[in-house]
Amino acid sequence: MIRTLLVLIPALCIAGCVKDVVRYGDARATETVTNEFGSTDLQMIAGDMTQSLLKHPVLAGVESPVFTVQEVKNKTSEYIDTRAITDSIRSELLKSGKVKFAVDSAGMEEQVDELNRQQGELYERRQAAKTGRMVGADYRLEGNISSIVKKAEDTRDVYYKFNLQLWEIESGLLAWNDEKEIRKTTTRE
Amino acid sequence: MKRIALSALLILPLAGCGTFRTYDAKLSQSLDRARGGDLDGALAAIGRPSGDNDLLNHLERGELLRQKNDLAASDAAWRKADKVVRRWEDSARIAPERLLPGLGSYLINDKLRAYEGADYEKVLLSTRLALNHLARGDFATARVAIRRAHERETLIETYRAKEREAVEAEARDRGAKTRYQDLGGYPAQTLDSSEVQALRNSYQSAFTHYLAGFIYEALGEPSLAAAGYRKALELRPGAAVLEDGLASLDTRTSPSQRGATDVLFVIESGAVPARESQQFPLPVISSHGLQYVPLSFPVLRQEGRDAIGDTLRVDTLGDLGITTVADLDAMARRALRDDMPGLMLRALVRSTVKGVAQVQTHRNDKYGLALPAVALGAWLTESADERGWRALPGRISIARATLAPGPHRISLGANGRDHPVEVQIGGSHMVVSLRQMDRQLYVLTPRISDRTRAVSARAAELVPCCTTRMVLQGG
Repeated sequence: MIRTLLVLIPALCIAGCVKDVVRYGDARATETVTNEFGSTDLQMIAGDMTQSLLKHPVLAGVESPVFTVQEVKNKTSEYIDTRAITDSIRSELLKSGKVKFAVDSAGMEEQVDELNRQQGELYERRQAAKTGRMVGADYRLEGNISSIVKKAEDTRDVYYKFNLQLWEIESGLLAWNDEKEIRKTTTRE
Repeated sequence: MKRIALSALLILPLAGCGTFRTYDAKLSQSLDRARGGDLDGALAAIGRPSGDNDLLNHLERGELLRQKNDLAASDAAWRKADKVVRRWEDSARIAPERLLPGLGSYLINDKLRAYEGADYEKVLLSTRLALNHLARGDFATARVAIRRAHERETLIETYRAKEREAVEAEARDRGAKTRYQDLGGYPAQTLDSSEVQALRNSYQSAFTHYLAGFIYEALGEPSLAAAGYRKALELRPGAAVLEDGLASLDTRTSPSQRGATDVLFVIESGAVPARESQQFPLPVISSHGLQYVPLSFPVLRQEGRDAIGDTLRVDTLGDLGITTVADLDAMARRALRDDMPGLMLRALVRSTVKGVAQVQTHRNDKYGLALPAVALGAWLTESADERGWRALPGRISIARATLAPGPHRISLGANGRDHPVEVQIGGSHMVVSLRQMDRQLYVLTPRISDRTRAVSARAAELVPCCTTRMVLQGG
């Protein structure tokens, strides 16, 4: 027993001396910590959808069309913030200079609150935002993400499908549609 | 001989510290006072924490302070508890090998291991922090807490899979039996019930995910709300309130647009079972053949009286069905069931080490003095860990309704009688908590000021009100 103690106690001391080190990493590096939806999946989807839309004739035919972003439905059992995906897409499209965005339904309340606030007598009338001048969107973006999960003893396979659509508001026509598929497999080795 | 006697003398005081002071005795006194309506007395019985790392004390105090409506103190206690759990999370994530059972637990008993919390307690800690924030109408901060709950579940799943493999491998190497059904006389039926077996695991509950869905929906995040409602339904299939939560998410218009408040009633009753240490013979294969070594293991003891009925009457709506969405009693049993292989393995190693010590002592003990001391020490230190978060309710049920802002009378059926309570409703979304502790009913709702009585999509300026406490009649 004393020999056991003589081995264990130094081992415990060494374990106690270990400390965590924090480092910054590359936000764009591939992340494979788990096979749940992660940063690399978000970046892949946003990147591919943006490239697909920018190349489509719908943007060639109209000068600076106005989009609004509607809900991308989460049909999976994972907590996926689809707004993070659409925010990335919106950001890339805006940077291209080819698209403008109108306020979406999620931001409408703040928009109206701010407009109403500026009608108060505290504001310089000439500089305050006027009501009745909001620009309506020409197109709306909506979509969904779904998944299929399969588990066996040492394997977990997750398949994601992200579908995004661009609808012309006035005509109700589907102007553009694309989807991105991702498969992630975890095996115990 | 002197060295052996000295060792025996050292073991005895060390053993005494962990063995004679039972957690069960301390908590039973505290909970009896809480059930009698004396929350201050219940808090006094628990005592102050021994330090910042006294996880269990922080958990128990946080719960009692919540019922007392001292939400600031409850949050403070639970934030300390959360720091302890996050240190565990860091280790589980980065260096899971650091979480091996400590040296003390192999030599003495599991009580010497620092209490790290059962998995369901870790998840419920975040859930109850979220409920505290909701009691103030603070959905934004509740979101942070509830997000931590479901992230915690993901980490637990990964870590426990590794731990299970390690225990199975060690048990195979030692030829150890780790089925609790093999322990002669162990009440296996307490861990084998249909409710326990129906659980996916010990730490996921439909309540945590439904609450997440409600919070995300209130904050205008339907993609996250959908995941919460869907996961709740997977964990509790067939529950109408959960099905409706998901099915009507897309069509449910903002309550503020309808001039109404979406109210989630959270009804808690009963108590989690207590752990008691009892001795059972563990079959061990030794050089002398099959032997039965008496070792201590935890057995669950039912606690508390669950008097709640299955409907909640709301003045303007009539009877709402109450649906159980978290059976903490079953989760506690499932946690013990999952822990038993590791407990039995550690007990076996302990018995081997102690047996070796006794044999060595016997060989060297010329005067027959050291061996009785070592044997007594071994007997005294053989006691199962009885610790657990006992102030939690045994069952969490929900009901959901859309109500006009203003005063409402709700009646909870308990002990065969109705118990009316007046609540103030306001804001776009609101949570009303009712907690039954034996014959006491605690109601926790945000206070609605006259200014916020009108429905607002942003539920600002809600502050916690007094907790209404009433004594349940009948029964």
